[in-house]
Amino acid sequence: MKDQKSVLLLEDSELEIRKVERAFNKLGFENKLISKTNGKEGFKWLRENQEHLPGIILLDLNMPVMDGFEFLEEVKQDPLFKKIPVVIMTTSRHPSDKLKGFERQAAGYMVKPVRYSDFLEMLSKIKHYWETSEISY
Amino acid sequence: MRIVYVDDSEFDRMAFKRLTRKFDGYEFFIFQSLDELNNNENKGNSLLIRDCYLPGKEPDYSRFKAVYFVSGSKPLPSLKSKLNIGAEQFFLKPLKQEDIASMLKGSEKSADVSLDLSYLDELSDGDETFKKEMINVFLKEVPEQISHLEGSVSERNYDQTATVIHALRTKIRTFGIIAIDELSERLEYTAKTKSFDNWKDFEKEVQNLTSELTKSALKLEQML
Repeated sequence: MKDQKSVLLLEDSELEIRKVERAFNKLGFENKLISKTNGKEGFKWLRENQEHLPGIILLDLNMPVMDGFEFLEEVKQDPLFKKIPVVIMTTSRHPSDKLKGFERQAAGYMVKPVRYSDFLEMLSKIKHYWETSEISY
Repeated sequence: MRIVYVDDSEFDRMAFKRLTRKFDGYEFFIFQSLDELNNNENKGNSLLIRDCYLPGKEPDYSRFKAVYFVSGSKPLPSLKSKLNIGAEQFFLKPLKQEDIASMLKGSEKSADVSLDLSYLDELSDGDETFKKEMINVFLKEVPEQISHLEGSVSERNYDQTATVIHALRTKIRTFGIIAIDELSERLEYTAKTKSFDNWKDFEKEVQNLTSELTKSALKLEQML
């Protein structure tokens, strides 16, 4: 991915983290994947790594301590981090969640698919979007 | 089918022997310790019933078709979590004939649970070690989440109930537990929007959900 910046994954399910790691390997992503299990930890990591901010944040909505929406709201209010594109990855298909995500300036909203091949395709699309999008800072 | 009973109380072993004498067509084996159980060859297709509080090395549960736990009082949460005791896997002593019948019925059901592992197979891409790692994550996280869900439902904490069901849905999809895919989505939505027609029905459906998850865990455990 662009400039080999890292990818920050905010996800509390070990199963999902392993799935994303495996997909990254399979798709040949060379970017470092950093995973944190809730928004608060994610925020802490961002503050501690201001010199090496991630190129993109993949965000699960359903997390303890600080959930995805709370995290998104805080990130978009912070002048240091607000330009990092955040893509929501969730199992929620409810339009209200999607709307809530875009209202909080999410760059994308991806419903976690039922098939793994679709999941790989979804990550490929994110990669393509990131490489070609002008929203990267 | 073989039914194996392990209990360090001589009184309870005798009670079990007496209780099961009318169950025709089954082979019964009674042991007084886990060591004795571990030293005996298991021919497979066995149902294990064991007291919760037994010293010694835990047996390899994958050797059994189904496992049930018994005790004179409900097990402490820490023990429940350590032994992965699901909601339908525990029976209070003194055991009754209907308890044994229920265990036998449950063990048949556990063999029937349907898992579509095509997603996991695709994900593993022939890597059996990775597949086993994923199953181990399921076996570690799901009993904790079931216990969390049961607590949330009993406290009528709707938001927490929705959150736990949401977290379980990822596993339901990854391990292809098709029978409860739609149910879990509906229950999550109901809890999230607090749109209960009848709370008792909701509780019952949550029990169906946890029961299927427990059966799936047993089946996955046998695959390790």
